[in-house]
Amino acid sequence: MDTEYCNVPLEIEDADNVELPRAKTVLAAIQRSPYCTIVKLGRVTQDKDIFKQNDEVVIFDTEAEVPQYPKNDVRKNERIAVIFPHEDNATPWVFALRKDFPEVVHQNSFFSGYPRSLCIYEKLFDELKISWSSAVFIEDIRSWLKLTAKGKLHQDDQQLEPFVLFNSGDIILPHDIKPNEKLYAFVTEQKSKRVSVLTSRSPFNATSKINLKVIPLSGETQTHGIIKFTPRNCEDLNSFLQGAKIDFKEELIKALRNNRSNSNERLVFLITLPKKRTETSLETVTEIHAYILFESIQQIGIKLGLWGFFDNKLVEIVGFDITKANFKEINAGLIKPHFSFNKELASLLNNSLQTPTIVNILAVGLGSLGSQVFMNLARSGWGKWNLVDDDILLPHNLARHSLFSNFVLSSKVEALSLLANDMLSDETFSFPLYTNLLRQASEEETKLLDEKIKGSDIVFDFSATISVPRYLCNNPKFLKKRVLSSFLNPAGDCCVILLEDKSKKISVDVIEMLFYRELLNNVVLKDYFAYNEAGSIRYSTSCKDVSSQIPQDHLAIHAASLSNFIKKNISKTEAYASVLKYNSESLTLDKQEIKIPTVLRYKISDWEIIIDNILVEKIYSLRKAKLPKETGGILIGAWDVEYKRIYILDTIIPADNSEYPTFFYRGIGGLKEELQKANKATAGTLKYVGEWHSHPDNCTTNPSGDDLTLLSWLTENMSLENLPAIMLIMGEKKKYSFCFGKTIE
Amino acid sequence: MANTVTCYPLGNADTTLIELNNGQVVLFDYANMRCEDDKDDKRCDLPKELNKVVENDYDVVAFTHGDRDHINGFSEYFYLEHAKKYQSDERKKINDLWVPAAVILETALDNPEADVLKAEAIYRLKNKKRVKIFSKPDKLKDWLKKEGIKFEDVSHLFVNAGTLVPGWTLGGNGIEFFVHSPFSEHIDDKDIERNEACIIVQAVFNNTHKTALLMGADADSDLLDSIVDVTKFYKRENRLEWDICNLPHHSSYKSINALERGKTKTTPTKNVKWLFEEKGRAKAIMISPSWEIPANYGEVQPPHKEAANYYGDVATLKDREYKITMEHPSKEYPKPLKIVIDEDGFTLEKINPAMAFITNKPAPKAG
Repeated sequence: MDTEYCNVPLEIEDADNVELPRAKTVLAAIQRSPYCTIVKLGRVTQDKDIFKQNDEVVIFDTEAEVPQYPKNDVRKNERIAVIFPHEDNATPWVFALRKDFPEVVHQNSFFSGYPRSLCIYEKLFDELKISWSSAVFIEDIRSWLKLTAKGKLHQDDQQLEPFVLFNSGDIILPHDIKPNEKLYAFVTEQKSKRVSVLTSRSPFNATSKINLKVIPLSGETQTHGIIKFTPRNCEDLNSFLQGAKIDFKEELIKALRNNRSNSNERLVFLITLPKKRTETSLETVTEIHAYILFESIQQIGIKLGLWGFFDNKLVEIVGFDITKANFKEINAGLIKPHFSFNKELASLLNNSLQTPTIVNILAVGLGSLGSQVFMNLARSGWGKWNLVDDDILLPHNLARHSLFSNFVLSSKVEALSLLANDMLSDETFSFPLYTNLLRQASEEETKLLDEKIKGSDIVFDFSATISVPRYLCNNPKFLKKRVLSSFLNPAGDCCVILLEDKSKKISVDVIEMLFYRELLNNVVLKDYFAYNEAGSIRYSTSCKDVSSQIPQDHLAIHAASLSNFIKKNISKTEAYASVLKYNSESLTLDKQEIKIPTVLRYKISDWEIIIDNILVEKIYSLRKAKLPKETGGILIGAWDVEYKRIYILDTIIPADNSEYPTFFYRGIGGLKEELQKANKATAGTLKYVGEWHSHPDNCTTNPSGDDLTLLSWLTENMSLENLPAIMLIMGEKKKYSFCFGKTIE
Repeated sequence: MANTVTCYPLGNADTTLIELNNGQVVLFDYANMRCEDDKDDKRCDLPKELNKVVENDYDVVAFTHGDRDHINGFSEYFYLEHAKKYQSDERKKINDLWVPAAVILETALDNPEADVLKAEAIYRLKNKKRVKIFSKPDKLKDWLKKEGIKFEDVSHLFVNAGTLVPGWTLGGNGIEFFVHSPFSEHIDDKDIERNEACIIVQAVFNNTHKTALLMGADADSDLLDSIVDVTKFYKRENRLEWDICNLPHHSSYKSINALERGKTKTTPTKNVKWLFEEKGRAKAIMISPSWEIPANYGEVQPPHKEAANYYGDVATLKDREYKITMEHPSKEYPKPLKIVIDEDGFTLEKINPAMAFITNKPAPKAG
């Protein structure tokens, strides 16, 4: 049987050779391949469509690896035409010339009259030409044929339709659009012959120059491969839509008649085309195609002979015959539909899977870190948010906040929530609470806040204060709410992440204290608080109006790490603490993870003493090292006089202790320096909280007479600061006891 | 993983490797023809090519007959059980050796390697394992008696024409082998005696399309005529269908019509015509294990241009292909011809050798 071939519908003269460099190398590659034979060469002699005079044509036969029983009718031998634009500004066009070459995926939707155009590359030519190889180009054509024959070119997740090359613009549609839904549309831009159309479910304020009438049409189910070519006028469109059983001519006339009163507007057709992958497949996918008619309703009506002017009035002409109207004269442009952004798409594009259940968050403090973390996560559609902050956006915030200047003087949370919800087309994604977590301005605010707290699973504290996490640990409203607290150091190179365990065995105030202890003992973090005070900027006149100098790029890096941490780790149950330190020389982030110990809490009088097993071990081993003598030192930690807590975190041993088997004098050698160092390293957080000494083996940890004398000395001194005295006695087998002294008023 | 069939460019010589998707390998013939000292010899280095894909033992090596162009160099490549000198570690073992009865019975061989093959087959036969003998002529029974071997003890090692080779099933291994030759039959009041003939089998793969591979060995038209007669007599015509045909005797006209070569094209005998034109399925492939087709008619040695012209017609008939091992993919750089068999039937690999120049050949010497 003879194979019939078709031609590219261009004026082409035969040529003995090609001149264009790219055509030359492709020709050479064809000649070298044992699987290709040149048929003929040619040159375009007249501009037409996208082709120009002097574009060159190479036609060749090629044998691809085609199986005996191909899934698509690709033959062992296929004739291919490659057209090289002489300006070398686009990937050479590849056409399969066999008349009955199948309509398959990965074809370009060309104008009618052209042979099937194979879409060999998804990459843009500018990108492609950097690593162009003509031999590879020929092999890629053969590989296209091979994979198409085997039905493997088309991955299941890919679009079913050919790539539309010649669209006239873009249209944005609601992501959850329903067939035949009433929509409003207007042209937002018309640049270089391209139109941009925005749609909405509610009418626009009539500020737009060109309003559009949206005409929804829907077709019957077809198997895939709907677009065979790109329609350019209403006649094309009519024949294109016949497959979906839509009589486009009738629909157009109907639309004109219905809209005669808006005769200066233009028509845009939104056509819903359901389709199946194969004849037998059950799954239907719905495609939406949009076509804009470039002329006004009135102009089209007159052109088609439907209407005429009579007495300066537009009237319908009697005896209008649809079969005689010239629909070819009415230009139509395909505009590419895009769907509004939404949570699912956000999550997909960020490659971030939602945790099985959506996390309900109460975020406190939407300053620079909070706002950036929130927007990062909003862009991936992650979580459901309540945003708490009573701050407004001020000009100096623009250095690092994710809001822009149009929101200056607006509530930060209201602006952020508005932006995120609008971006995701979801009113419920976030809820702003323009209030202070610690004290609300009205009962209503409190009621609303309480309700939102109740509905939250976790609290994100980005407030960068000590008061918020303390409040969260002590207020019964938050008894069962897990807390994540994160803040930067003054220089902005470190970001601290503190996360409670799911069952809240260890609370965030304690984790924060562990972080301070880490600052004492971890050399990497010794400069955590080192910050040039001269670097703080007074943004206004009051003494409190100071903002630090932190580069936005540091902030962005930390916000990015933090949002990534949240997505990855929030479903884990353990407590976690670390410091991320950014090195702007090496451009690397260094993670210092903080070990989470077992925490021991003791209630004594109206105070609570908090200590952990790491410190107990440390003191015990110091005792052991000095046996049979006694030893001791001072305890350092922190007081919380508001909630009456004593956090004991570390110890300092003086250099000049007097140690004996049955008694001990605590010395003072180096104490002052060490205490100062601890104080400085933790910005004054860790200080002296009490004393400890050891008892030898075979002794109780009860205080001796000497110990009681010591305690009363201590109590007297501490009472000057209105604090109780703490004395720890460490005995054998890690047994220890606390002595607590308080003056009675 | 798919099944593959690979034919090697060895000039006028046969070697066909079948790799099954269960990992088993079956080799039909082994003829290493390359002249190592001749740099321009385009025939492939067979042991090297085979070792690229076959790591362990061969499940089966079938020698369709003992001619040089089917066994050349086999005694240097395989581990042979009958003598120590063939047993170095790098040699490949043969789990089951298939030979026609003639290999054992032939005397006065002018090819010393045929003697080695004979000795190996006899050794295995006496051991009563790891060998299959195709057909059991009376002469062989006499020989067994002389050797003091009871026929009953070795009868399981014999395979008759008209049956499937035992141990190979579509369900089990994914392939079956139907034996056409050698044979002796009494049909239509005629005795057809073909015990001296080569092994001819039809292998069928267990894919959706039941792809069939016909191994033509060195059959001439006489043998093919008889095979067709017998097969038709038993109404087993489907056993001669083929998607892939390893053409007999390097595209010799004698396999098409032994009596009449034809001026420019050999006219096939009635049965041969039926076998090629009717029994070849659409888009099937014929492989000529041979040198490139000569420019002139009347050449003494195959391949014959007259035969090639006939096969060309067979190809055109149902969109089939006719490929010459020494011309694939090009006369300049022949490469092993590899066919993949999967759910799309078979596919001939068509890899552009120019694209693989970096790995195909060592780079020229650098100064």
